[in-house]
Amino acid sequence: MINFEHVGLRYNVGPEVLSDITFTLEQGAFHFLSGPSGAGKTSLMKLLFLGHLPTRGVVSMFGQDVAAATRAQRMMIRQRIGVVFQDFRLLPHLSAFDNVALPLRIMGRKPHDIRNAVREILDWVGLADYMHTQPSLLSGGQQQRIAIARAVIGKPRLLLADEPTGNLDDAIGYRIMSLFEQLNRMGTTIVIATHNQQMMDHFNHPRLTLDKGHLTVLPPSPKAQLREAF
Amino acid sequence: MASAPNDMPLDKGDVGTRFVMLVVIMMTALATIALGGALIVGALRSTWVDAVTGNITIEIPASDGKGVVRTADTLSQEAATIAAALQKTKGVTSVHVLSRTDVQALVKPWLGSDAGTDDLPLPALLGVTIHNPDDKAVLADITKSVATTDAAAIVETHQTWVSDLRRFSLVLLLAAGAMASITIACCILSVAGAVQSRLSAHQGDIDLLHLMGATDNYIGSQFVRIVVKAVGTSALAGTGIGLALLKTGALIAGEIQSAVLPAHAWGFVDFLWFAALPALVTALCYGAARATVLRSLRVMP
Repeated sequence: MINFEHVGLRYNVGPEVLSDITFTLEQGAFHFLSGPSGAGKTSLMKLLFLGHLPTRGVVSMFGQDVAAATRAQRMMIRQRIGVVFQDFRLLPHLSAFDNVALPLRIMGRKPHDIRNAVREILDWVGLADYMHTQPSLLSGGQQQRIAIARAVIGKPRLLLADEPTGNLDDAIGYRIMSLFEQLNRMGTTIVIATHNQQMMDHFNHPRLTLDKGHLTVLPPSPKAQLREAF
Repeated sequence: MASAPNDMPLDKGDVGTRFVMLVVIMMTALATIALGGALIVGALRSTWVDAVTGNITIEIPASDGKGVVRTADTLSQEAATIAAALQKTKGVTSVHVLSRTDVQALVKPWLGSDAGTDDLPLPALLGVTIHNPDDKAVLADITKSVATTDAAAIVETHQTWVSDLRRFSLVLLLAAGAMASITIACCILSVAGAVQSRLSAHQGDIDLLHLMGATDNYIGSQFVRIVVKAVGTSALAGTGIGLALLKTGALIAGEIQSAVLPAHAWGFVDFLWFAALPALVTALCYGAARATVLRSLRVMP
Protein backbone atom coordinates (compact mmCIF):
# COMPACT_ATOMS: atom_id res chain seq x y z
CA MET A 1 0.00 0.00 0.00
CA ILE A 2 2.84 2.38 0.89
CA ASN A 3 6.21 1.84 -0.59
CA PHE A 4 9.42 3.82 -0.14
CA GLU A 5 12.30 2.93 -2.45
CA HIS A 6 15.71 4.48 -1.85
CA VAL A 7 14.08 7.71 -0.78
CA GLY A 8 16.19 10.72 0.10
CA LEU A 9 15.11 14.13 1.34
CA ARG A 10 17.03 17.35 1.67
CA TYR A 11 15.79 20.86 2.39
CA ASN A 12 17.00 23.28 -0.27
CA VAL A 13 20.76 22.81 -0.65
CA GLY A 14 21.32 21.39 2.85
CA PRO A 15 22.50 17.88 3.64
CA GLU A 16 20.17 14.89 3.26
CA VAL A 17 18.02 14.54 6.35
CA LEU A 18 16.75 11.18 5.14
CA SER A 19 18.98 8.83 3.17
CA ASP A 20 18.15 5.77 1.18
CA ILE A 21 14.93 4.97 3.04
CA THR A 22 13.34 1.76 1.84
CA PHE A 23 10.32 0.10 3.44
CA THR A 24 6.83 -1.12 2.71
CA LEU A 25 3.67 -0.72 4.77
CA GLU A 26 1.01 -3.25 3.91
CA GLN A 27 -2.65 -2.46 4.45
CA GLY A 28 -3.52 -3.06 8.10
CA ALA A 29 0.08 -2.68 9.32
CA PHE A 30 0.79 -0.98 12.64
CA HIS A 31 4.25 0.49 13.18
CA PHE A 32 5.92 2.65 15.74
CA LEU A 33 8.37 5.22 14.40
CA SER A 34 11.11 6.00 16.86
CA GLY A 35 14.54 7.48 17.06
CA PRO A 36 16.44 10.20 18.83
CA SER A 37 15.65 13.88 18.32
CA GLY A 38 16.91 15.13 14.95
CA ALA A 39 16.94 11.61 13.49
CA GLY A 40 14.43 12.59 10.82
CA LYS A 41 11.12 11.35 12.29
CA THR A 42 9.27 14.55 11.47
CA SER A 43 10.73 14.59 7.94
CA LEU A 44 9.63 11.00 7.36
CA MET A 45 6.17 11.83 8.67
CA LYS A 46 6.05 14.80 6.28
CA LEU A 47 6.88 12.50 3.39
CA LEU A 48 4.15 10.14 4.56
CA PHE A 49 1.46 12.84 4.66
CA LEU A 50 2.80 14.48 1.48
CA GLY A 51 3.92 17.60 3.27
CA HIS A 52 7.07 17.21 1.17
CA LEU A 53 8.01 15.31 -1.94
CA PRO A 54 11.20 13.21 -1.93
CA THR A 55 14.29 14.73 -3.51
CA ARG A 56 15.27 11.28 -4.74
CA GLY A 57 13.83 7.79 -4.84
CA VAL A 58 10.21 6.76 -5.27
CA VAL A 59 7.35 7.11 -2.81
CA SER A 60 4.31 5.20 -3.86
CA MET A 61 1.06 5.48 -1.92
CA PHE A 62 -2.13 3.57 -2.62
CA GLY A 63 -0.62 2.42 -5.90
CA GLN A 64 0.36 5.88 -7.08
CA ASP A 65 3.80 7.43 -7.46
CA VAL A 66 3.31 10.65 -5.49
CA ALA A 67 5.95 12.58 -7.45
CA ALA A 68 4.20 11.79 -10.73
CA ALA A 69 0.68 12.41 -9.37
CA THR A 70 -1.16 15.55 -10.37
CA ARG A 71 -2.06 18.12 -7.73
CA ALA A 72 -5.67 16.88 -7.71
CA GLN A 73 -4.52 13.27 -7.32
CA ARG A 74 -2.27 14.26 -4.42
CA MET A 75 -5.24 15.92 -2.72
CA MET A 76 -7.22 12.70 -3.13
CA ILE A 77 -4.34 10.73 -1.59
CA ARG A 78 -4.23 13.18 1.34
CA GLN A 79 -7.96 12.66 1.95
CA ARG A 80 -7.13 9.02 2.67
CA ILE A 81 -4.58 9.97 5.32
CA GLY A 82 -5.39 11.07 8.85
CA VAL A 83 -2.74 12.97 10.76
CA VAL A 84 -2.47 13.69 14.47
CA PHE A 85 0.08 16.48 14.82
CA GLN A 86 2.23 16.79 17.88
CA ASP A 87 1.02 20.37 18.36
CA PHE A 88 -2.57 19.31 17.41
CA ARG A 89 -3.01 22.16 14.90
CA LEU A 90 -6.64 22.71 15.82
CA LEU A 91 -8.25 25.79 14.30
CA PRO A 92 -8.77 28.08 17.31
CA HIS A 93 -11.84 29.95 16.05
CA LEU A 94 -13.76 26.74 15.40
CA SER A 95 -15.60 24.70 18.03
CA ALA A 96 -14.54 21.14 18.81
CA PHE A 97 -17.43 20.00 16.61
CA ASP A 98 -16.33 22.07 13.61
CA ASN A 99 -12.68 21.08 14.02
CA VAL A 100 -13.62 17.41 13.95
CA ALA A 101 -16.07 17.96 11.08
CA LEU A 102 -13.40 19.56 8.88
CA PRO A 103 -12.19 16.44 7.01
CA LEU A 104 -15.77 15.45 6.20
CA ARG A 105 -16.60 18.94 4.94
CA ILE A 106 -13.51 18.81 2.75
CA MET A 107 -14.72 15.47 1.40
CA GLY A 108 -18.05 17.10 0.58
CA ARG A 109 -20.21 14.99 2.91
CA LYS A 110 -23.79 16.04 3.62
CA PRO A 111 -24.39 18.15 6.77
CA HIS A 112 -26.70 15.52 8.26
CA ASP A 113 -24.08 12.77 7.86
CA ILE A 114 -21.39 15.07 9.26
CA ARG A 115 -23.49 15.84 12.35
CA ASN A 116 -24.07 12.19 13.15
CA ALA A 117 -20.47 11.14 12.49
CA VAL A 118 -18.99 13.96 14.60
CA ARG A 119 -21.31 13.25 17.55
CA GLU A 120 -20.41 9.58 17.40
CA ILE A 121 -16.65 10.17 17.29
CA LEU A 122 -16.68 12.82 20.02
CA ASP A 123 -18.55 10.34 22.15
CA TRP A 124 -15.88 7.74 21.28
CA VAL A 125 -13.07 9.99 22.53
CA GLY A 126 -15.13 10.97 25.58
CA LEU A 127 -15.70 14.61 24.62
CA ALA A 128 -19.38 14.64 23.63
CA ASP A 129 -20.05 17.26 26.30
CA TYR A 130 -17.46 19.63 24.81
CA MET A 131 -18.88 19.69 21.29
CA HIS A 132 -19.42 23.45 21.17
CA THR A 133 -16.35 24.43 23.15
CA GLN A 134 -13.46 26.18 21.46
CA PRO A 135 -10.04 24.50 21.70
CA SER A 136 -8.54 27.29 23.81
CA LEU A 137 -10.94 26.37 26.60
CA LEU A 138 -9.93 22.70 26.56
CA SER A 139 -7.01 21.08 28.37
CA GLY A 140 -4.00 19.76 26.44
CA GLY A 141 -5.27 16.21 26.76
CA GLN A 142 -8.74 17.17 25.53
CA GLN A 143 -7.26 19.05 22.59
CA GLN A 144 -5.21 15.98 21.74
CA ARG A 145 -8.34 13.84 21.73
CA ILE A 146 -10.06 16.37 19.46
CA ALA A 147 -7.05 16.14 17.14
CA ILE A 148 -7.29 12.35 17.18
CA ALA A 149 -11.04 12.47 16.50
CA ARG A 150 -10.38 14.79 13.55
CA ALA A 151 -7.71 12.46 12.20
CA VAL A 152 -9.86 9.35 12.30
CA ILE A 153 -13.32 10.69 11.42
CA GLY A 154 -12.79 10.33 7.68
CA LYS A 155 -11.95 6.63 8.17
CA PRO A 156 -8.47 7.10 6.72
CA ARG A 157 -6.61 4.21 5.14
CA LEU A 158 -3.41 5.51 6.73
CA LEU A 159 -3.26 7.15 10.14
CA LEU A 160 -0.12 9.03 11.14
CA ALA A 161 0.27 10.23 14.70
CA ASP A 162 3.16 12.26 16.07
CA GLU A 163 3.49 11.67 19.82
CA PRO A 164 -0.29 11.20 20.16
CA THR A 165 -0.13 10.34 23.85
CA GLY A 166 2.47 12.93 24.80
CA ASN A 167 0.01 15.19 26.63
CA LEU A 168 -2.14 12.47 28.08
CA ASP A 169 -1.93 10.75 31.44
CA ASP A 170 -1.15 7.05 31.27
CA ALA A 171 -4.75 5.85 31.59
CA ILE A 172 -6.03 8.05 28.73
CA GLY A 173 -2.86 7.39 26.72
CA TYR A 174 -3.42 3.64 26.86
CA ARG A 175 -7.10 4.15 26.07
CA ILE A 176 -6.19 6.18 22.99
CA MET A 177 -3.70 3.50 21.95
CA SER A 178 -6.46 0.95 22.31
CA LEU A 179 -8.65 3.10 20.06
CA PHE A 180 -5.85 3.10 17.47
CA GLU A 181 -5.68 -0.67 17.73
CA GLN A 182 -9.43 -0.88 17.16
CA LEU A 183 -9.03 1.24 14.04
CA ASN A 184 -6.13 -0.91 12.94
CA ARG A 185 -8.22 -4.04 13.30
CA MET A 186 -10.74 -2.43 10.96
CA GLY A 187 -8.00 -2.20 8.31
CA THR A 188 -6.40 1.22 8.87
CA THR A 189 -2.64 1.28 8.51
CA ILE A 190 -1.12 3.11 11.44
CA VAL A 191 2.25 4.75 12.00
CA ILE A 192 2.88 6.32 15.39
CA ALA A 193 5.94 8.42 16.03
CA THR A 194 6.84 8.21 19.67
CA HIS A 195 9.62 8.43 22.21
CA ASN A 196 7.59 6.46 24.71
CA GLN A 197 9.56 3.25 25.16
CA GLN A 198 7.07 1.97 27.73
CA MET A 199 4.26 2.34 25.21
CA MET A 200 6.26 0.55 22.51
CA ASP A 201 7.08 -2.22 24.94
CA HIS A 202 3.45 -2.56 25.94
CA PHE A 203 2.01 -2.82 22.43
CA ASN A 204 3.16 -5.56 20.15
CA HIS A 205 4.05 -3.78 16.91
CA PRO A 206 7.12 -3.59 14.69
CA ARG A 207 9.23 -0.45 14.84
CA LEU A 208 10.71 1.83 12.21
CA THR A 209 13.80 3.23 13.85
CA LEU A 210 15.54 6.26 12.45
CA ASP A 211 19.06 7.28 13.27
CA LYS A 212 20.86 10.09 11.47
CA GLY A 213 18.47 9.84 8.54
CA HIS A 214 18.84 6.08 8.09
CA LEU A 215 15.96 3.69 8.72
CA THR A 216 15.98 0.26 10.28
CA VAL A 217 12.86 -1.89 10.46
CA LEU A 218 12.78 -3.79 13.73
CA PRO A 219 10.41 -6.56 14.82
CA PRO A 220 8.07 -6.02 17.79
CA SER A 221 9.75 -5.29 21.08
CA PRO A 222 11.10 -8.47 22.69
CA LYS A 223 9.38 -7.53 25.96
CA ALA A 224 6.05 -7.23 24.18
CA GLN A 225 6.60 -10.57 22.45
CA LEU A 226 7.41 -12.10 25.76
CA ARG A 227 4.22 -10.64 27.26
CA GLU A 228 2.18 -11.89 24.27
CA ALA A 229 3.60 -15.39 24.78
CA PHE A 230 2.25 -15.55 28.32
CA MET B 1 -29.97 25.30 10.16
CA ALA B 2 -26.90 27.51 10.39
CA SER B 3 -24.46 27.11 7.51
CA ALA B 4 -21.00 25.69 8.07
CA PRO B 5 -18.53 28.29 9.34
CA ASN B 6 -15.50 29.38 7.36
CA ASP B 7 -12.55 27.13 8.09
CA MET B 8 -10.41 30.24 8.46
CA PRO B 9 -11.38 33.36 10.44
CA LEU B 10 -11.98 35.51 7.40
CA ASP B 11 -14.73 37.63 8.92
CA LYS B 12 -15.14 41.02 7.36
CA GLY B 13 -14.60 42.80 10.67
CA ASP B 14 -10.82 42.92 10.35
CA VAL B 15 -8.86 46.04 9.38
CA GLY B 16 -7.82 44.76 5.93
CA THR B 17 -11.38 43.98 4.88
CA ARG B 18 -12.66 47.28 6.27
CA PHE B 19 -9.98 49.10 4.25
CA VAL B 20 -10.99 47.29 1.06
CA MET B 21 -14.66 48.04 1.72
CA LEU B 22 -13.86 51.72 2.18
CA VAL B 23 -11.82 51.83 -1.04
CA VAL B 24 -14.59 50.05 -2.95
CA ILE B 25 -17.25 52.42 -1.58
CA MET B 26 -15.26 55.51 -2.58
CA MET B 27 -14.19 54.16 -5.95
CA THR B 28 -17.67 52.94 -6.86
CA ALA B 29 -19.09 56.33 -5.89
CA LEU B 30 -16.57 57.98 -8.24
CA ALA B 31 -17.32 55.46 -10.97
CA THR B 32 -21.04 56.18 -10.53
CA ILE B 33 -20.42 59.90 -10.94
CA ALA B 34 -18.27 59.22 -14.01
CA LEU B 35 -20.98 56.99 -15.45
CA GLY B 36 -23.64 59.60 -14.69
CA GLY B 37 -21.48 62.25 -16.37
CA ALA B 38 -21.05 60.03 -19.41
CA LEU B 39 -24.79 59.41 -19.64
CA ILE B 40 -25.55 63.14 -19.34
CA VAL B 41 -22.95 64.06 -21.97
CA GLY B 42 -24.31 61.36 -24.27
CA ALA B 43 -27.87 62.64 -23.83
CA LEU B 44 -26.84 66.29 -24.27
CA ARG B 45 -24.91 65.46 -27.41
CA SER B 46 -27.98 63.79 -28.88
CA THR B 47 -30.13 66.77 -27.90
CA TRP B 48 -27.70 69.28 -29.38
CA VAL B 49 -26.98 67.34 -32.55
CA ASP B 50 -30.67 66.51 -33.13
CA ALA B 51 -31.50 70.19 -32.71
CA VAL B 52 -29.24 71.28 -35.55
CA THR B 53 -29.08 68.26 -37.81
CA GLY B 54 -31.32 68.76 -40.86
CA ASN B 55 -31.67 72.45 -40.09
CA ILE B 56 -30.02 75.08 -42.20
CA THR B 57 -29.86 78.74 -41.31
CA ILE B 58 -29.71 81.34 -44.07
CA GLU B 59 -28.43 84.69 -43.07
CA ILE B 60 -29.04 87.73 -45.24
CA PRO B 61 -26.58 90.32 -43.91
CA ALA B 62 -27.81 93.84 -43.32
CA SER B 63 -24.98 95.01 -45.54
CA ASP B 64 -25.36 94.06 -49.20
CA GLY B 65 -21.67 93.23 -49.61
CA LYS B 66 -20.83 96.55 -51.17
CA GLY B 67 -20.99 98.43 -47.89
CA VAL B 68 -24.61 99.57 -48.32
CA VAL B 69 -26.82 98.88 -45.29
CA ARG B 70 -30.21 97.64 -46.36
CA THR B 71 -33.43 98.60 -44.67
CA ALA B 72 -35.52 96.16 -42.71
CA ASP B 73 -38.14 96.16 -45.48
CA THR B 74 -35.55 95.37 -48.16
CA LEU B 75 -34.19 92.53 -46.07
CA SER B 76 -37.70 91.28 -45.48
CA GLN B 77 -38.43 91.24 -49.23
CA GLU B 78 -35.13 89.45 -49.94
CA ALA B 79 -35.99 86.86 -47.29
CA ALA B 80 -39.45 86.33 -48.78
CA THR B 81 -37.98 85.87 -52.28
CA ILE B 82 -35.44 83.33 -51.03
CA ALA B 83 -38.13 81.54 -49.02
CA ALA B 84 -40.36 81.27 -52.05
CA ALA B 85 -37.50 79.88 -54.15
CA LEU B 86 -36.50 77.35 -51.48
CA GLN B 87 -40.04 76.11 -50.97
CA LYS B 88 -39.92 74.91 -54.57
CA THR B 89 -36.56 73.20 -54.06
CA LYS B 90 -36.67 69.40 -53.96
CA GLY B 91 -35.76 67.93 -50.56
CA VAL B 92 -36.72 71.02 -48.56
CA THR B 93 -39.32 70.20 -45.91
CA SER B 94 -40.05 73.66 -44.59
CA VAL B 95 -38.85 77.24 -44.73
CA HIS B 96 -39.44 79.66 -41.91
CA VAL B 97 -38.62 83.36 -42.09
CA LEU B 98 -37.76 84.81 -38.71
CA SER B 99 -39.45 88.12 -38.04
CA ARG B 100 -37.37 91.11 -37.07
CA THR B 101 -38.78 90.74 -33.55
CA ASP B 102 -37.45 87.14 -33.45
CA VAL B 103 -34.01 88.31 -34.56
CA GLN B 104 -34.03 91.08 -31.96
CA ALA B 105 -34.92 88.47 -29.32
CA LEU B 106 -31.93 86.40 -30.41
CA VAL B 107 -29.45 89.23 -29.86
CA LYS B 108 -31.09 90.44 -26.67
CA PRO B 109 -29.05 88.09 -24.36
CA TRP B 110 -25.85 89.70 -25.68
CA LEU B 111 -26.98 93.32 -25.91
CA GLY B 112 -29.33 93.45 -22.94
CA SER B 113 -33.02 94.35 -22.90
CA ASP B 114 -32.32 98.05 -22.52
CA ALA B 115 -30.33 98.34 -25.74
CA GLY B 116 -32.34 99.91 -28.52
CA THR B 117 -32.22 97.31 -31.25
CA ASP B 118 -34.86 98.95 -33.47
CA ASP B 119 -32.27 100.99 -35.30
CA LEU B 120 -29.57 98.34 -35.41
CA PRO B 121 -28.66 96.86 -38.81
CA LEU B 122 -29.75 93.30 -38.00
CA PRO B 123 -29.61 90.53 -40.62
CA ALA B 124 -32.65 88.65 -41.86
CA LEU B 125 -32.70 84.98 -40.93
CA LEU B 126 -34.44 81.98 -42.48
CA GLY B 127 -34.72 78.55 -40.90
CA VAL B 128 -34.78 75.76 -43.49
CA THR B 129 -35.50 72.13 -42.69
CA ILE B 130 -34.39 69.49 -45.17
CA HIS B 131 -35.56 65.91 -45.39
CA ASN B 132 -32.16 64.24 -45.61
CA PRO B 133 -29.28 66.12 -43.97
CA ASP B 134 -26.76 63.89 -45.76
CA ASP B 135 -28.09 64.67 -49.24
CA LYS B 136 -25.37 66.88 -50.69
CA ALA B 137 -27.35 67.58 -53.88
CA VAL B 138 -30.12 69.29 -51.89
CA LEU B 139 -27.53 71.39 -50.09
CA ALA B 140 -25.97 72.37 -53.42
CA ASP B 141 -29.42 73.31 -54.81
CA ILE B 142 -30.15 75.45 -51.76
CA THR B 143 -26.78 77.21 -51.94
CA LYS B 144 -27.28 77.88 -55.66
CA SER B 145 -30.81 79.11 -55.20
CA VAL B 146 -29.81 81.46 -52.36
CA ALA B 147 -26.80 82.82 -54.26
CA THR B 148 -28.96 83.53 -57.28
CA THR B 149 -31.27 85.70 -55.22
CA ASP B 150 -28.72 87.36 -52.91
CA ALA B 151 -24.99 86.94 -53.44
CA ALA B 152 -24.25 88.23 -49.95
CA ALA B 153 -26.48 85.65 -48.21
CA ILE B 154 -24.74 82.96 -46.13
CA VAL B 155 -25.89 79.32 -45.97
CA GLU B 156 -24.99 77.87 -42.58
CA THR B 157 -25.33 74.06 -42.28
CA HIS B 158 -23.93 73.95 -38.69
CA GLN B 159 -21.62 71.12 -39.74
CA THR B 160 -18.58 72.68 -38.07
CA TRP B 161 -20.54 73.08 -34.85
CA VAL B 162 -21.87 69.52 -35.04
CA SER B 163 -18.42 68.16 -35.79
CA ASP B 164 -16.82 70.12 -32.92
CA LEU B 165 -19.62 69.07 -30.62
CA ARG B 166 -19.17 65.42 -31.52
CA ARG B 167 -15.43 65.63 -30.96
CA PHE B 168 -15.84 67.45 -27.66
CA SER B 169 -18.45 65.07 -26.33
CA LEU B 170 -16.32 62.12 -27.42
CA VAL B 171 -13.43 63.53 -25.38
CA LEU B 172 -15.75 63.91 -22.39
CA LEU B 173 -17.05 60.36 -22.82
CA LEU B 174 -13.53 58.99 -23.06
CA ALA B 175 -12.51 60.93 -19.96
CA ALA B 176 -15.52 59.57 -18.06
CA GLY B 177 -14.76 56.06 -19.30
CA ALA B 178 -11.12 56.39 -18.25
CA MET B 179 -12.15 57.65 -14.83
CA ALA B 180 -14.59 54.78 -14.34
CA SER B 181 -11.97 52.28 -15.55
CA ILE B 182 -9.29 53.65 -13.23
CA THR B 183 -11.59 53.59 -10.22
CA ILE B 184 -12.67 50.02 -10.99
CA ALA B 185 -9.02 49.05 -11.48
CA CYS B 186 -8.30 50.53 -8.02
CA CYS B 187 -11.01 48.29 -6.56
CA ILE B 188 -9.57 45.25 -8.28
CA LEU B 189 -6.00 45.99 -7.14
CA SER B 190 -7.14 46.64 -3.56
CA VAL B 191 -9.02 43.36 -3.49
CA ALA B 192 -6.09 41.43 -4.99
CA GLY B 193 -3.69 42.99 -2.45
CA ALA B 194 -6.02 42.31 0.48
CA VAL B 195 -6.51 38.70 -0.61
CA GLN B 196 -2.75 38.26 -0.93
CA SER B 197 -2.19 39.56 2.59
CA ARG B 198 -4.99 37.35 4.00
CA LEU B 199 -3.37 34.36 2.31
CA SER B 200 -0.09 35.17 4.05
CA ALA B 201 -1.84 35.71 7.37
CA HIS B 202 -3.58 32.32 7.16
CA GLN B 203 -0.69 30.38 5.66
CA GLY B 204 -0.69 27.90 8.57
CA ASP B 205 -4.41 27.20 8.31
CA ILE B 206 -4.14 26.81 4.54
CA ASP B 207 -1.29 24.31 4.92
CA LEU B 208 -3.41 22.33 7.35
CA LEU B 209 -6.39 22.29 4.98
CA HIS B 210 -4.12 21.21 2.13
CA LEU B 211 -2.76 18.39 4.28
CA MET B 212 -6.31 17.23 4.90
CA GLY B 213 -6.82 17.04 1.17
CA ALA B 214 -8.70 20.29 0.64
CA THR B 215 -8.54 21.32 -3.00
CA ASP B 216 -7.47 24.80 -4.06
CA ASN B 217 -11.06 25.46 -5.11
CA TYR B 218 -12.35 24.50 -1.65
CA ILE B 219 -9.92 26.86 0.09
CA GLY B 220 -10.18 29.56 -2.57
CA SER B 221 -13.97 29.63 -2.41
CA GLN B 222 -13.80 30.62 1.27
CA PHE B 223 -11.72 33.71 0.46
CA VAL B 224 -13.80 34.52 -2.60
CA ARG B 225 -17.07 34.19 -0.65
CA ILE B 226 -15.90 36.83 1.83
CA VAL B 227 -14.71 39.12 -1.00
CA VAL B 228 -18.00 38.88 -2.89
CA LYS B 229 -19.96 39.68 0.27
CA ALA B 230 -17.75 42.61 1.25
CA VAL B 231 -17.33 44.06 -2.25
CA GLY B 232 -20.98 43.51 -3.19
CA THR B 233 -22.33 45.47 -0.23
CA SER B 234 -19.63 48.15 -0.58
CA ALA B 235 -20.26 48.56 -4.32
CA LEU B 236 -23.99 48.97 -3.67
CA ALA B 237 -23.29 51.55 -0.96
CA GLY B 238 -20.82 53.36 -3.24
CA THR B 239 -23.34 53.47 -6.08
CA GLY B 240 -25.95 54.83 -3.69
CA ILE B 241 -23.58 57.57 -2.55
CA GLY B 242 -22.65 58.35 -6.17
CA LEU B 243 -26.33 58.64 -7.14
CA ALA B 244 -26.97 60.93 -4.17
CA LEU B 245 -24.08 63.15 -5.29
CA LEU B 246 -25.41 63.16 -8.86
CA LYS B 247 -28.84 64.16 -7.56
CA THR B 248 -27.26 67.00 -5.58
CA GLY B 249 -25.39 68.05 -8.72
CA ALA B 250 -28.60 67.91 -10.73
CA LEU B 251 -30.37 70.13 -8.18
CA ILE B 252 -27.58 72.71 -8.45
CA ALA B 253 -27.51 72.44 -12.26
CA GLY B 254 -31.29 72.85 -12.32
CA GLU B 255 -30.82 76.42 -11.16
CA ILE B 256 -28.58 77.23 -14.15
CA GLN B 257 -30.79 75.50 -16.70
CA SER B 258 -30.86 77.04 -20.16
CA ALA B 259 -31.53 76.08 -23.76
CA VAL B 260 -27.87 75.15 -24.09
CA LEU B 261 -27.83 73.09 -20.89
CA PRO B 262 -31.26 71.49 -20.63
CA ALA B 263 -32.26 69.50 -17.55
CA HIS B 264 -31.51 65.81 -17.93
CA ALA B 265 -34.24 63.38 -16.97
CA TRP B 266 -32.90 59.96 -15.97
CA GLY B 267 -34.59 57.16 -17.88
CA PHE B 268 -35.01 53.44 -17.30
CA VAL B 269 -31.94 52.60 -19.39
CA ASP B 270 -29.84 54.99 -17.31
CA PHE B 271 -30.88 53.17 -14.15
CA LEU B 272 -30.02 49.86 -15.77
CA TRP B 273 -26.50 51.22 -16.26
CA PHE B 274 -26.34 52.27 -12.61
CA ALA B 275 -27.64 48.86 -11.51
CA ALA B 276 -25.04 47.14 -13.67
CA LEU B 277 -22.15 49.09 -12.12
CA PRO B 278 -22.03 47.39 -8.66
CA ALA B 279 -22.65 44.05 -10.35
CA LEU B 280 -19.72 44.71 -12.71
CA VAL B 281 -17.43 45.83 -9.86
CA THR B 282 -18.37 42.76 -7.80
CA ALA B 283 -17.90 40.42 -10.76
CA LEU B 284 -14.48 41.88 -11.62
CA CYS B 285 -13.34 41.79 -7.97
CA TYR B 286 -14.61 38.22 -7.72
CA GLY B 287 -12.50 37.32 -10.75
CA ALA B 288 -9.46 39.14 -9.34
CA ALA B 289 -9.81 37.50 -5.92
CA ARG B 290 -10.29 34.06 -7.41
CA ALA B 291 -7.33 34.41 -9.75
CA THR B 292 -5.10 35.72 -6.93
CA VAL B 293 -6.11 32.95 -4.53
CA LEU B 294 -5.76 30.13 -7.02
CA ARG B 295 -2.44 31.41 -8.36
CA SER B 296 -1.04 31.61 -4.82
CA LEU B 297 -2.47 28.26 -3.69
CA ARG B 298 -1.10 26.49 -6.75
CA VAL B 299 2.48 27.17 -5.68
CA MET B 300 1.87 25.85 -2.15
CA PRO B 301 2.73 22.20 -1.40
